[in-house]
Amino acid sequence: MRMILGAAHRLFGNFGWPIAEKEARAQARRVRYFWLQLVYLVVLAVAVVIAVGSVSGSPESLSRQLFAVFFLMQNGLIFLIFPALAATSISAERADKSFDLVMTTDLRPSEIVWGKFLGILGNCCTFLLAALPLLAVCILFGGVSMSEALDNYLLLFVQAGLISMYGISVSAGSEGNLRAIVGTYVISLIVGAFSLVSFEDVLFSRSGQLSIIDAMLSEAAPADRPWVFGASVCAVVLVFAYSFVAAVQRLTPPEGNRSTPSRVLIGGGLTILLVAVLVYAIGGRGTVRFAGAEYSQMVFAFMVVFGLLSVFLLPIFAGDRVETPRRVDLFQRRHPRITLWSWLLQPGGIRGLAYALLWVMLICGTLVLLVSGDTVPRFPSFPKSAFPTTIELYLATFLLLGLAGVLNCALAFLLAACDIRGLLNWALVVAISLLLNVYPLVFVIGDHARQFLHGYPLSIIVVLRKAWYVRRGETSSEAIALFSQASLLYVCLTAGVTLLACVLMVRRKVPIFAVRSPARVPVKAA
Amino acid sequence: MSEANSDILVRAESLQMHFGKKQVLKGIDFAVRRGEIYGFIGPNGAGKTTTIRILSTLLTPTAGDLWVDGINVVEEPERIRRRIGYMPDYVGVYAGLTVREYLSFFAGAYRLWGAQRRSLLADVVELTELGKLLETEVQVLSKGMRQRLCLAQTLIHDPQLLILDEPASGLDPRARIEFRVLLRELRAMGKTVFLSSHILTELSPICDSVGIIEQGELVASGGVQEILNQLRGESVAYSVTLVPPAGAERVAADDNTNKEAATNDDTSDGAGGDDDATPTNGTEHVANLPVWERVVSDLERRPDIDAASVSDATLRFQYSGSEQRLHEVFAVLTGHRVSFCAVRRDEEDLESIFMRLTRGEVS
Repeated sequence: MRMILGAAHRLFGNFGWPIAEKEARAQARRVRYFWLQLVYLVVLAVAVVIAVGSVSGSPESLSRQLFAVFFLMQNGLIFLIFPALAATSISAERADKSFDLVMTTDLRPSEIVWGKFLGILGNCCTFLLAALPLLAVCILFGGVSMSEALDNYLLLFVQAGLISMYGISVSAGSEGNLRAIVGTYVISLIVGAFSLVSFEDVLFSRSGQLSIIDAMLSEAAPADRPWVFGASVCAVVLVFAYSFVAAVQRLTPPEGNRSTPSRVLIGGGLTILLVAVLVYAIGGRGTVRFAGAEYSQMVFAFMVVFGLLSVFLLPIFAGDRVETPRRVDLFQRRHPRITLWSWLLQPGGIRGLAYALLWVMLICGTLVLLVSGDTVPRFPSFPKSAFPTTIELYLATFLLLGLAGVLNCALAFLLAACDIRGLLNWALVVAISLLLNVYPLVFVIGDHARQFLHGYPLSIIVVLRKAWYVRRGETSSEAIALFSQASLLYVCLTAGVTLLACVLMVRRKVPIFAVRSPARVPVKAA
Repeated sequence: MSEANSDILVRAESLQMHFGKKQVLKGIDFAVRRGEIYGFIGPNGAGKTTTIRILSTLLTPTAGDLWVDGINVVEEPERIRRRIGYMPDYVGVYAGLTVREYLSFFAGAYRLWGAQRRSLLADVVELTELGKLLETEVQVLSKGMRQRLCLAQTLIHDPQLLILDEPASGLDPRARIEFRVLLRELRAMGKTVFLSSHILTELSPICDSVGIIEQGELVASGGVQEILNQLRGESVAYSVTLVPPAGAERVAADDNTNKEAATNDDTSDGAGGDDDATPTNGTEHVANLPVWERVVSDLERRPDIDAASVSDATLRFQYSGSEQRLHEVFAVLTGHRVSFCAVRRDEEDLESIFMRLTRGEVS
């Protein structure tokens, strides 16, 4: 219990209350704040007025359509206005050097981020609450239940929280205001467009449901709704937590000449993988049937984009991850009690966990592929009934890309151990990755593409499900051959890369496997 | 490091810092005693701000260690922050807050609440004389007042060590003097001050010790007088103001007259009847009196005189003997019947030390 309380205090502290108070006060006194709120309300009001003039029908239907317009407009506006409140929250203070003063106070980075978040969220909430009279106009004619209004408002608050947190995260990681603003708005554009398209689809669909949450859940079978809801909440919490951790890590003073974004992005990559596993766990049950091809395609596109990011983006940040003796020394001095397996945790905290997970995944991936390599040849064919669903294929594709990302990270480690860093490191990793995938790429792009597009993930799913089927089919044989080659390559590479990286690290006197007693600096007489 | 109760408050050992492949600090060592004002000086790019940022826990050194009050800055930065107050070279303030709110914010950030907070706030406001400005918005304060506000912020949690990066830069002369007075008051209160500055005349009168850094290396550290002694070895510079003989004055006046005459009459030889006279000016003429040259010559023959020269009716020499035998030097002057009216022991100041030790190159 004491440990839990200690951990909670360490994470939240006093929630950065002085920062939150200062942030809310300073923001609210700026002229910009009132102008933004005025623009926000005027645009909403104009939209509602136009909608009143253009919509016909019964009062109830008018009310429902007004509500949909109001909610969509609000949803769009928060992605335009709220990033402006969050984007420069830290970068602006850093630019005028006032942030250094805060960093030398007793406040921990986590408290600073919490404080910023609460302050900005408070201001965002005033925007949302200021629009309540307009909402009252929308539901004036009846037809919109209070629970629908609350559901959607809850969603807006959640979105405001997410925008605030990733805005702070980008701001903490950016050197200048311009970068912070551009970065925050790029993310907002992507998330906002996704949100607007899907919400518009739901609100104006024939189902007639106005609650976004209910409408989304209705896509899944009743038995799976708790799972889908849970997965969505997990995804939101993970993105929020990732942004929080990223901001905190960025604010933690760097050790030596090392920067922190890499650890953050490795953590982010792993988070993406965790989300994939979570979704796969639901999809793998085989009962979820997402209605509508568009939704399915969107999910697939989302996963492929993030998967590709893990393949091509992660190595950039993994490239400088080789520990220097100084970092190891610092870790052991800060945590003198942790000696056993400290090589896994170096230099502790989130990054240590990310390290541990990375290595575990490498080992597990190797084992899975070894087992599958043994299983597949014995069962070269299987019945049509063993074929996975489309969503499973998509998810498996994503998992495979994630796996490739991990392998690329390992390659980046290796190159970094050879002192090949930065852009060259990334270019080499991507080049090697592409070379390894030439055959599958040619195969996919070639004549068989239409038939075997999903051959790769298909094989994985069949193996993972341990489908013991004997009926031979034309569609499976080439896919299995391809998969066997890929798994062999993966196993060899993972083993080789790991071994080489370790040897090089040991040669660089980085005690990754040898646990030494906590180092103390020799004390000189005063 | 058992310095918690010792005389040393800050100790750096082999402090190194790399930014990429660039080594900004090349293993510097220094120590700051409790209750002293330590001036950290060096040209631009020498590594001053990096050292200060390490001391303020904003950077972690690549190698080496730094202790404040016996606590390692690298190992326990959180504990260090309670003991230090940091003031950056440029003071950025939060727009939209009043002076009172600004100070309250920092008091909260140091977890000061209730009576303790009110008491410390009142003390700091009184010390920095910000009482009349408490309800003023910080962005309308003058540069000098902002410096005061920032100093008040650094003092709000009653730290042992004040780290001030260029605190006097951009201040007008009055504000500088007031700031200097404030630093002296702080020293009297037992605070240790670690400050960097480019304005060496500001540091000279208030610093107990200095560290001079160039290209990431500490070229000198210690008391100002201590460094001076190191630099000049055993010898001390003296200046003696000579009194020209009555005749020499006359000759000088005649010379000027002759010069004017020579200008008016091109046929004049301009001799003026004096072999020692030269057609330049009176002062130079006096400086070249043969008797003074003889004094210089005699002084240079002495083993305790490193160098001697005369110019502008002033005799300068470097004396390495004991003070008890200094009268022998003056006996040389009286032996030649040379009169003098003043003797001054020349002191090198911080600026001359700085110029001698540094070349202005960046690391």
